[in-house]
Amino acid sequence: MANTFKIKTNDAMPSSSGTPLTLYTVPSSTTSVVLGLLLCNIHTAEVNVSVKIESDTSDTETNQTVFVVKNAPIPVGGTLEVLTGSKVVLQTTDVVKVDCSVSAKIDAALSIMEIT
Amino acid sequence: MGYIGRTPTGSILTGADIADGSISTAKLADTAVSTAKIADDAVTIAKATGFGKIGQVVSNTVTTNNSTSGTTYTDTGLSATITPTSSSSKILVLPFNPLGGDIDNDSGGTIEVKQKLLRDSTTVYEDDRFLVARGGQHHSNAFSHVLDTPNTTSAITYKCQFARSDAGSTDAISNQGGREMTMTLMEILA
Repeated sequence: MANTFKIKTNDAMPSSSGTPLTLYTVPSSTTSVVLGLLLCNIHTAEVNVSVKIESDTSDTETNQTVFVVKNAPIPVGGTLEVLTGSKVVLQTTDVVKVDCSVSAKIDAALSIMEIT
Repeated sequence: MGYIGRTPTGSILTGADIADGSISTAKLADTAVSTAKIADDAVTIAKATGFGKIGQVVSNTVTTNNSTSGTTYTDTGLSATITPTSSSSKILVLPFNPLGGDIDNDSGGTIEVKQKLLRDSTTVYEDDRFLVARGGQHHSNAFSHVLDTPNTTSAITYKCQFARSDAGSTDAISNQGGREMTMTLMEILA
């Protein structure tokens, strides 16, 4: 098994407010550990952000799509640390998506460790 | 979850954030509710206690005159009707009913006049020797005021009656000359 640390970034997301944009999709034959997610407000006004994990993987129960954070406010000049002190494990095909109350006003930085 | 750089400012509470009926009297300062916060028609009679209140005033004016030489009470013709708004109300009765005695021959005889005030058929005041007159005519106003406690919210009628209180042939007189006489009723709320 190989452990690979990676960062996934996306500037000025989402392209359309109200339509969560994919930041990361777990590749095949991979388990990922999310180490941190930073969401930076690049707008000139406060915005509200949401982060969803879309998962349909299962062992005995089928996972569902859930919010990690929903409509959290980020003031002008602020950055939100979504996963402070906690970790999220993702399985193959799981997706992390980001939405914002204003289109293209969030810079996202996702730190992960992929286990293959 | 934490923030780097600026953090969101706290949101000011709005009325929608406070559940109905959740603010107790203890949370209100003694001076919190000013007169301006009370709508003109918001204070009901039930909330106004601890001081005298005039609930209503009724007045009736008549020009009836009457006389009798008997000792059985007869109506003077002065009456007024009121319907108390509360059974705990008192009624202040203010009658103006001149009564007199007629001794027409100046013979030195006497006449005694009695009077009473009725609430419907109940006597609320009686003076069985209101006036003692000797020679000629004497007139005086009847009772000036009576405070009654009717204990009802039904319509009640107050009326004045008079008669001679001693036996004789001359008349006891009510409102000689048929001038205006008035009965005023005031409901005094508890």
